[in-house]
This record gives sequence, structure tokens and C-alpha cells, in this order.
Amino acid sequence: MTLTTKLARLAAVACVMVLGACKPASEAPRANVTGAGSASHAEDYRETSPGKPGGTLRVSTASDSTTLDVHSISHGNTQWLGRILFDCLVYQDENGNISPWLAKSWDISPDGKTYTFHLRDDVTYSDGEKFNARAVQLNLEHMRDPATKSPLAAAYIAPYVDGRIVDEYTFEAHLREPYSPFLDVLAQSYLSMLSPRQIEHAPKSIAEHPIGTGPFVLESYTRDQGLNFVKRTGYHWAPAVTRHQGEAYLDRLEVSIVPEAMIRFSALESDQSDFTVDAPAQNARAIRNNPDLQMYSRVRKGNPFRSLTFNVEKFPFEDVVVRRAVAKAIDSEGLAWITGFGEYQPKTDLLASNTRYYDPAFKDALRYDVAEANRLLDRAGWTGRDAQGYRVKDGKRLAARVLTYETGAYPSSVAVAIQADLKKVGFDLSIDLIPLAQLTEQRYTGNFQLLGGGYWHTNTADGLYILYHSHSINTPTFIGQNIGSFRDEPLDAALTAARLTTDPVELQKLYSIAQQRLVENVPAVPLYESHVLVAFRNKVKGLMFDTSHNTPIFTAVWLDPEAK
Amino acid sequence: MSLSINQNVPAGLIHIARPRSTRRWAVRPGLLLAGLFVLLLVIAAIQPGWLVAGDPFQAISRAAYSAPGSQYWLGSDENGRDILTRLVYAARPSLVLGVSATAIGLLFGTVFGLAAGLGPRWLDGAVMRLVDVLLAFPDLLLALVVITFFGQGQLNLIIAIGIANVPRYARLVRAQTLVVRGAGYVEAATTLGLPRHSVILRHVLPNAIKPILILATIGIGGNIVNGAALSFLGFGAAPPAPEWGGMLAMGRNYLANAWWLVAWPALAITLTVVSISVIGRELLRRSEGKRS
Repeated sequence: MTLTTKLARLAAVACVMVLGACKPASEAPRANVTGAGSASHAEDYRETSPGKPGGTLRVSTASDSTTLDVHSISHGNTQWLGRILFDCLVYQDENGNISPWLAKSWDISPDGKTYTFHLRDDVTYSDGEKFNARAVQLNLEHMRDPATKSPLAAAYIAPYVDGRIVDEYTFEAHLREPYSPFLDVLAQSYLSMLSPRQIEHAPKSIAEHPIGTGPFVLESYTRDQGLNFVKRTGYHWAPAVTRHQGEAYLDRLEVSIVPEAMIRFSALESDQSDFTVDAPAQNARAIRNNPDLQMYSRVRKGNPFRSLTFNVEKFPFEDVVVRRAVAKAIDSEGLAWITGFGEYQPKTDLLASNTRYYDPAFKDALRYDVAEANRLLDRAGWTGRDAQGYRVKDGKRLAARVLTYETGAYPSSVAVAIQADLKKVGFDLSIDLIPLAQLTEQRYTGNFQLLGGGYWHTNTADGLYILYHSHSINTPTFIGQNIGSFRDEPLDAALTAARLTTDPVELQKLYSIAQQRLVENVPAVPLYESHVLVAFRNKVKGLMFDTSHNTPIFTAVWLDPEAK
Repeated sequence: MSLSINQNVPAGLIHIARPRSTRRWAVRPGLLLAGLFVLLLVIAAIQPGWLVAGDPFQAISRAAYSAPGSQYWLGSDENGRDILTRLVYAARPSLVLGVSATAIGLLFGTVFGLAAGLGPRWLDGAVMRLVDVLLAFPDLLLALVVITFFGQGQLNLIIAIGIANVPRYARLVRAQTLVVRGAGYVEAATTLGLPRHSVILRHVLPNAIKPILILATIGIGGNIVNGAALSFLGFGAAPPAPEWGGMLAMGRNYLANAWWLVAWPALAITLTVVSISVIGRELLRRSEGKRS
């Protein structure tokens, strides 16, 4: 692992944390309405009836992704911005199977190490350049180029060794080892196919003037203010799964960046904007009660939000019983209420419920149960009590510090609520509210007992490998996402085996084992699902959601002039 | 709010100059209410348990954002804590901050003011130019600068606001000193051969500082507002400590659906400042009545 890779990973992690922090703050869901995750409707992911072309859609979002080079960031906005400008090699269908997009078909060698992609021959970039095998090769190179400082895409294609251009429209990717999530991650917006000409000649220009094959073309981008897009004429390669044919319906798409939640809401209400991709959870009820507005809530696949991540090498969390007791003492439903206003689906297991191979069998293991938490702590020997009512054992108080920083996604009220919950079982939690830079440093030196917050979105159950496999543990030479140094041999075995097979039955078995090991060994406390909350005016029709990210796709959106 | 208080200070000086005959012991109802409120604040600061039974840290997440009602008289906050209980418990840090910051400002302001008013001309010039420079910064900005150097926390907040007060008091004390220095009784004392330090301690200081002490009473209110403003900006005590400014800061995010998170602490700050100002003005009036 080279220094640059390390730095890139560090940057990535930091980005994800920032993200995890700032962006979901403003997104939420339909939790109470549909039971969030599991209930996703097939029509959410496809065009149901043709729309009318024309018009301008005004969209608001909470934050700026700061660059449009989607390979170089892990910002949450990439999930929907990428779909506006770019296309991917493949696309997931509503069940999580891989379906064609820019690649018509693909073959996987029996050893799982060679992927041959047969590409569409009719796709062009908006500057007229052809999309071909060389474009794919340059894109994969760009993702892992240390100069790209990719926080996410590079890690996802880590097993990629090199590629071979078989002919103009056939590309062969060689992997170091079998890696079954390869196609899944290639379906993510973060791994979109950028312009090979830009990658080769002006990679820096991608950040502000990206060229793509997508349904819209960037017209202008002003940092922290907004982006304007116009329809790409001649576009006709939307993923078959979406059932959209031909060009986008909208002539223009204007995205403005509005950090203030109240303003996003009031602009929508007063018809100054048509759509917000970051609907504020606290205004959800008002939006639903407004006959002019609609609201949709979706859940991101992968890993849910965590309320706490344990450092399993530090007192008192080396004891799994204490970890389980803490998890059971935290009222995740209450936490979901204080930040989500009934919009967030509380979570008691560690894989997002709409992820393929999610197994609901373990969702009760960490359920909120104060009596059981007390029993567990008694059993672990924490039977004494000191003057303030906290548990003691061998003269030592049951206490820990949680490191956190103030963000929209994890406001200090969450830490305060956890503190109050834990006090009820005699656990003394103190809150260390520190700046992000300091937190990042302590996080990587392992100098903490507990970390507050965090989430990692991906479109496959392999997200568990990234967070909890012992190969993902931080070492002096490798920066991994398993920050709590969690290790469990059966879990490692299951997650490793899952990367080696593509058999759904086998995968279900392996990921079930993984999920069971996780709730039994409690590396972290789940909080709620990672929600996407969008709201829009009634005239907006044809909205569909991304099968990978559950964020909106604007290709089939149209404006109905008759609707109010 | 803080602005109006700041303007009141010079206004107060003008009052001194205007002779008035007041009915000395007649108590106006506004004054009585203000006095009662301050008394309540003092009780809350010393023994909050006498006013409310609850625990300000008792949080029930599921009961968060409850509207004012029989269970939570003033509603519950973003963590499902009783707002009334937290308001009462937040009185102590606010009062302590107001009083100690004013004391710091007064102490150093007096030292500088006396030095400038009585010292050699070059010292006067140096101190007053420094004060002019500091006065050019708004109080809050000055306090923020100090916090940047000292770091966060309740004690540093007090020091920061105290230091931000120094220039104003220095200028007032200097002006009063100059007035008193030329007064007949000081000249008389000097003529009688009293040593310089006893003239200063026995005659100049007490007479120069008296009107300023009364102004400082009003200043306590202003400092409470500044403290709340700084903790609103996130420079106060860390959560979960109850603090009016902090409560405001948290509550503003939920203004659209839970107004009570913001309304009550705002009201508490307003009433406190108004009450203290009313009492301070009354003191001012009295002192001036005595003198005339």
C-alpha cells in the first residue's frame, strides 16, 4: 500500500464521514408509511407512462459536492448528480440483479477473475466522442489513479489489475482475485463513465466542466450556488430497466444549492422551486399535509446509520456482553424520533433492509430492552453501584467517552439522548464534542472508546466486508473502515467466501451468517436506515428512483402544465 | 437586545446630570415585578430544587418535542427533557456569567481608568488610544477573539465577556476620575497635605466609581445577553449542560414545528435583562436623587 493510496483512502474516509454527517442530515424517508426498506415498489424504478417533453425543473439541494469528477469524491449528491451527467457500464434491476446499460452483456470466466464486457456501439459523449472499450479502460485507470484521490471508487475496484481492449467494443477486465460485487459497484454513480478525452488530456477540467454520455449536459456550474443542465439531444441509451426510451423529457434542469432547511421547504411551498432532493425531516408532516406537494421516502442500501461504533480493544468494550447491553439500552426508536420526526425507520440490525441478501431473522437480537440490558450488565459482573448510581466493578466505574462532532446528521442531541439512555442502566457516558479534524485523527490512531455516528452506503451486502472484515482494520500501512478493530473469524470467513461466489443461494447463506455474527458480536449499535427524502410539487411527474442508490433519476421526469 | 443595553449606558450618564425630584419610597408596579423576577432568578441560581422538582438531564427521547401541557408545562425539548426544569437550572450559569463578567470588566476597567485619569499624560494617551482601538470592535467580536485564544468553556466565556467589557468601563472611570479630580473636596484634601495615594483611595476612587457601579448593574443584563449569544454560537458549555443561549441555538432548527423550544429561553433572557435594567435604572435614579 503506497503512501498516496493511503492518503487517498484517508481522504475518502474523511469525505464519507463528512458526508455521513452533513448530507443525510437533510434527507429522510417514509418510514412510518411503508415500513421503509422492504416495501419498495417496482414502479418506483421504471417509467410507467410516457411524458410530455419540455419545461424547466427547478431543484434544490442542501450542499455542494464541490466537484463533478464523481470518481474523486464520496459526496452523497453524486448519487443523483452522476445520473444526470453520466452513465454506467451496468445497472441493477429492482431486485438487485445486474442488467445491461452501456455494456450490452458480459461474460465472467469460471475462475471469476476475468470479466469480458460487450459494449453498446451507438453511445457517444456530448462532445461527439465515441464510447468504446478504450473509454472503459481509461475510466478504470482514472478511478485508481493516485492523482484522482478517489475515496470510494478506487476502493471498490481494488481487485482490478488491468484491462485489455479486445476490439473497439469489447473490454476485458482482469481481477487479482474473484470479487463477486464487481458488477454491483460498477452500477454505482461513483463509477460512472467519464469522457476519455478529458481523462487523458485535461483531468482537472472534469471537476467543473465534465463531459458525459448522460441524459443532460452541463451548461454552467457555480460553486455553492447551483448547476444548470440542458437536455442531451440524441440520447437513447437509458438503462432498459427504467423502460425510458429516447431523450429526457425536460429541456432544462436547474439545481440550486440551499443549505437552510427552512428555505428549501418554503421555496417548494411557494412554488419557487419544483423539487427538493433534501427534504427536511422536520417539515415532512407539513409537506404531506399540503395538497400541492408530494413526498417520497426511500432507503439507501448497504449499511444503516450507526449511533455508536465500539473500539473493541478498549475498556469496557472488549467485553461483548457490555457491548450488547449498551446496544439494548439505547432506544433507537426514540433517537429516530428526535432527528427524524417519525420519518426515519429505526434499525436494530446492521444491514439496510432493502439490500439484497438482507436477512430479517436477526432484527430482534439488539432490540431496545432496558431490563435485559441491566441483566446483561449484572451478569458481566457490574453489580456494584457508586454514590451517583453508576455501576462499578473492582472499584472501577462503568464509564466511557464518546467522540463526536456537531453535524446535521448526528446533532449533539443524539449523543445526549444516548447518554441519558445509558445512565438509566448505570453506564456513565461522557460526550466529547470535538472538531472534525481532531476526530478524524483520533479515529485513525484508534485513540477512542466510542465513536458517534457514521454510515456507509453501497449497493451490495459487501458493505459489511468494508466495515467489519478484519482485513478492513486500520493498520499503520492500511487505512480501513473497520475503525473499531472488530474481528470475528466466522464473520471473516463468510464475507471472504461471499466475494468468491456468485451463486445467490450460497450468497444468501453466507450473508445470513455474517448478519447473525454481527448482531451477536455487536461491533456497532445500529441507529436508523439511511434515508433519502424527496419532495416536489404536483406538476412533477414521472419520477423514478435509482436502483443502486434510491435517489431520484430525472431522465423520465416531466412537467404536467395542467396539474397545480 | 444587547445593542439597546449598550446605548443605555451613555443614556444613563445623561440621567445623572438631570436633577429630578422623585418620590423616594414609592414603588412602581413594574419595579416590584422586576424585583420579584430577579429574586426568583437568585433562588433559581442558588437552590433550583426549590422551584422545580425534576432533573434537568432526565431525557426521554420518545417524548421529545411535546407541546406545553399538563406533563411538561412549557413543553419538552429536542431530547424529551422538561423545558421548565432546564430553564430554572440554566439561571445559575447565566447569573454567574453576568455578574462575574461584569466584575472582571469593572475591576480591570477601573484600574485602567484610574491610571489614565490620574497618571501622566503619556500614560493617559496610551491607555485611551488602546481603549479606542478596542472599542472599535463590537463586544461580541472581541469576546470571540478572546475565546479563540483561550478556548471554549464556561470559565473562558466569563473571561472573554469580562475582557470585552474592560474598554467601556475604563473610559467611564477615566471620565469620572477627571471630574472628581477637579472637585473642591479633592483639592481641599490635597491642600490639607494628604499623601497622593490616600487622596486617590479615600476621595477619588469612591466618588468616581459610585455611578459606575450602578451602571454596571445594568451591564449585568447586557452580559447575560452576550453570554447567551456566544453559547448560541456554540461557544458556551458543552451539551447537555442547560444554558439559555444553547437552548435557543438547538431550538431554532425546529422553529417550524416546535416554537416552544425557542420561545421560553428567549423569554427568560428578555425578562432577565429587562428586570435587571429596570432595577439598575431605579438605582441610578435614587443615587442621583440623593445627590441632588
